[in-house]
Amino acid sequence: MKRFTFITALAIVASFTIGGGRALAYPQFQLSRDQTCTSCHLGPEGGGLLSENGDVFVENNSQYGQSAAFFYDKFKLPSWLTLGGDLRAAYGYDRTPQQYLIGFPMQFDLYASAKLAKHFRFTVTAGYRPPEVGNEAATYVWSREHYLLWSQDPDGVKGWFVRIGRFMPIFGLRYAEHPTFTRAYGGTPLYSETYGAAVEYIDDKYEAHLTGFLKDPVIDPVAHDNGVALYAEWRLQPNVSIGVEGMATRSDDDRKFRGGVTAKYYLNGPDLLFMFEGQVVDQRISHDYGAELQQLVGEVTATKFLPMGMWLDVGLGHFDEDLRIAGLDRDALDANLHWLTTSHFELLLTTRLELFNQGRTQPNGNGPAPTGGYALLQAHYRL
Amino acid sequence: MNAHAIARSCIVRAMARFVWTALVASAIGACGTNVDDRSLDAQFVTAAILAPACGAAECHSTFVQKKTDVFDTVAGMRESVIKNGLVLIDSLQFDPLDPDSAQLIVWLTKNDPLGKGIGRMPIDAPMPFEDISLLKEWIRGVPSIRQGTTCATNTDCTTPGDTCHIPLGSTSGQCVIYENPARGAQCDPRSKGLTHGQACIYDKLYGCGPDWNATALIQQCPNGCTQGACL
Repeated sequence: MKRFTFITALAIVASFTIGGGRALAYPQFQLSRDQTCTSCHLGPEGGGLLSENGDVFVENNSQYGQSAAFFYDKFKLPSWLTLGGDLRAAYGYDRTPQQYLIGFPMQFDLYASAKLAKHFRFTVTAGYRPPEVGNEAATYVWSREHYLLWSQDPDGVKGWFVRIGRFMPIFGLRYAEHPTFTRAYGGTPLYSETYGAAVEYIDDKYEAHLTGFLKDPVIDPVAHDNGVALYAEWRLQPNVSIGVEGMATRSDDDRKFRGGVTAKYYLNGPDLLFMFEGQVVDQRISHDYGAELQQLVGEVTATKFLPMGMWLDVGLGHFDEDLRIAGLDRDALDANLHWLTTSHFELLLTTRLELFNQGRTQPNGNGPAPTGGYALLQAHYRL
Repeated sequence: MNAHAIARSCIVRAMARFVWTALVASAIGACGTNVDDRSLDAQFVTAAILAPACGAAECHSTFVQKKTDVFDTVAGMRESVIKNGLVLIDSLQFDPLDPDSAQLIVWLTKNDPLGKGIGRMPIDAPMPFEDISLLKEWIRGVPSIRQGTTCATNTDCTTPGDTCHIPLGSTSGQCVIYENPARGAQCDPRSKGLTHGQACIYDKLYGCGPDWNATALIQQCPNGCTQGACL
């Protein structure tokens, strides 16, 4: 027990390892509550700052609704300016397979978005980041996103959008939880925002996002690729959508080609949403890209909306790091319970059980595969 | 049937579809051969194993460089492995003879390896044993050991091209050979006229490290060497 406590304390000091990150929009709300992310968010990607409609949605869908505007609407901002922020921290149990109790801050981001002219908006996200060892003084604070947006619709809800600046390429379903396999291994890992330009189209029936991006030339980045990403979604019916995704990237070390599909199906009666994303990755590695491997990444999630501002996600993630070799596939069973207590405060219990080779003995006499998992309680405060 | 019962039946049917989809997806992903013939060069090991498992943003990425280790690029991996002694290739400790003792492997296989509460890596998700085995093979790759061939001098190694590696402080060793060009013929100390136990790395970044692609980066250290410096 004493040893466990000691390890716990040190693990807290050595925090940030599971890491935090910017909350993207909750894709659970698209189709189940509205047709597009831009109905509630200022950015065409969804996530970050909420529009007025988004504020009303949060107020109506939290258990103890109150004004959802910046600082409870105590500060009257000029109409051209929108401010906000997200703070997140988590504490809980982690097994990899060594066991820990860990606590760590996840996110401290401030958002500002200024409407510059009828069709233009400039958005900045700035905040804390885990510092780079050896360069701490210059790397505690950064701007994760800063981009200029042109939107055909002055309200920025539908129609054409063009963005240039630093942002996350739009790809796939865009789960908020970055450990989701389709994010971690699917081309949009944590902190992989970079410089690029995007042309996007969104309406109730269709949306498409084409992004060209570069390796960040300013900082030591997470993503080392130049590339292009395409995501397109077709809402066949108000409660059914299908999508396709493709990404090609090239770094000094490898080339990757990703292709996949997404689907969403909402059942109005039981208030239940199903989401699926599957992706095949072709990776060319090594001298003259001689070595090649194919990967499979997938996520199936069922979301049940509950009373009192709660919803439960149950998901199965799958990642096979090399389809040719047995024993390298991993599955994660996720169960996340969200509770929007007020318009500004969310509690989230996030749990995972992770198995290799479906829990069987690994090939080549390697014995039973290691298992992993976590159960973390996360507190999220919106400014 | 009332509305509640209909809704419940709908949930059950929907959940059944979900489970079937999940099972089919898992089954598809569980295929593959047991023969692990993946490439053993530094580029492959970095891009396929170390970068996704160890080079996550908040860990040993170029972005954070936790403990000054970087595993999300080949250049970063080379520097980390050599500079931080994660794989030692010198006359005090020669990890290719015993990959289990290489710090890189110790961190991946032992709980709290330093007894300081810094746990087994990766800390955010386990690594499959198959990948750890491949990393050991990669470390072992140069030289390949002739099993059961102990030696005191090079003349004891009867197979042409073999070298007798004698750890410092020992009077006997094992015959080794650099037989696979992909595993390091370019880094063969014999090409420099050196005895393996006396060769060391003098270029910390692109030295004769586990990427095995360096040339002309080996110098002779008559008294042995450690961590890229002659004693």
